[in-house]
Amino acid sequence: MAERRTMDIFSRLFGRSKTSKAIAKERLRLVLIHDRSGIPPELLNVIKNEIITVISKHVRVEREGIQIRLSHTQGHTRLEADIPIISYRQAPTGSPLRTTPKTEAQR
Amino acid sequence: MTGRAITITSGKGGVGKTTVTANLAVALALLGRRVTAIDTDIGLRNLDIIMGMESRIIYDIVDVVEGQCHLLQALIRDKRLPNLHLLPAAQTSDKTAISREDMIAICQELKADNDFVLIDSPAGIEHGFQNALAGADEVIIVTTPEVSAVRSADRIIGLIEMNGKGPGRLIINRIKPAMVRRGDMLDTYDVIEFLAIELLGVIPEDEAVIVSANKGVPLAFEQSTQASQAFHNIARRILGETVPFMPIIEERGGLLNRLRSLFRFP
Repeated sequence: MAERRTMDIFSRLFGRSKTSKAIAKERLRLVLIHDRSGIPPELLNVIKNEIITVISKHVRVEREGIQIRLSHTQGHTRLEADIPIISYRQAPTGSPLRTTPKTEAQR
Repeated sequence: MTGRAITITSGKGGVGKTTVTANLAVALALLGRRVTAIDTDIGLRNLDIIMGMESRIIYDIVDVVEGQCHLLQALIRDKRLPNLHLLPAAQTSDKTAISREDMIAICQELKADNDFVLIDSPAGIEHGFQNALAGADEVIIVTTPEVSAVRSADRIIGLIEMNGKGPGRLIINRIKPAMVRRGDMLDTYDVIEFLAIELLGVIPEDEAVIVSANKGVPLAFEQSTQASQAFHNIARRILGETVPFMPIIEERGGLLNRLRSLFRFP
């Protein structure tokens, strides 16, 4: 117990771990954004999956890195999406992208 | 001239609503104001215990509503302060025994003879809370510096505003200075930043609160501890005085103790 406490103080001094207050603030911030907007975290997950489905038609995305979140600044709630792209998808035949090769060639 | 009805509420249970109600009632009465405290937690009454009046209850608020007695017959007078009364909740009746209209009528009647009517709300956001809010002219929200309590307070502040009773004023209860200093507890500024309402007072964690609850004598009867001083300061702010927020000092503060705790001396 004593060692753990000392470790805590050291790691805090060197900025390696957050205080429990900092964690509390971050969790509270997120919870209040959801509570105030009336958008539950479950709905964000549904939105996230649907966005992935749509975007994956066109580009390959890194699923694990995708972050969909609500933010609240100056009285406005916004939905933020951070979607890492791995590569431009080689679209299968029949996809809308295949139907426009001329446009690309003209450029 | 009629008095002010103030509802004390929190959303989450166990943050100290009843303790705050009892102590503010005593503090305001000690300042010479006529005060009646109402317990609206039907089925789970507690304010009588904290105020040390549990053995003197004859009628309760449900009896008043059902016409079993007159309002004045149900009021219990404090033994030390003749200007302090309690209207107890019923312990056996159902929560729905009282309506919003009943509460408004009771508050109106009590306001005629009191400077302050303090309404102790039950936890939750349902019927009992709505009743407690119905007769209120003002609202005090009690919270503790914890994620769950602040979240509940935020929700309840929203509901108070929806009811047109907002925005209300905030009391932060059970601050532990040593934990704040270690970075293990939200401080006053953190809580205010989240909830964005006016701060009415900050009450430090104090073992004397439990001792006084054991005895049935609210802490505010003495002015010996930081917590009781905090209650008196809040009472004076309610009266419109400008009272500076006192710095909350550790119980056994001082540099030596800080060094001890740093190096883990016993």
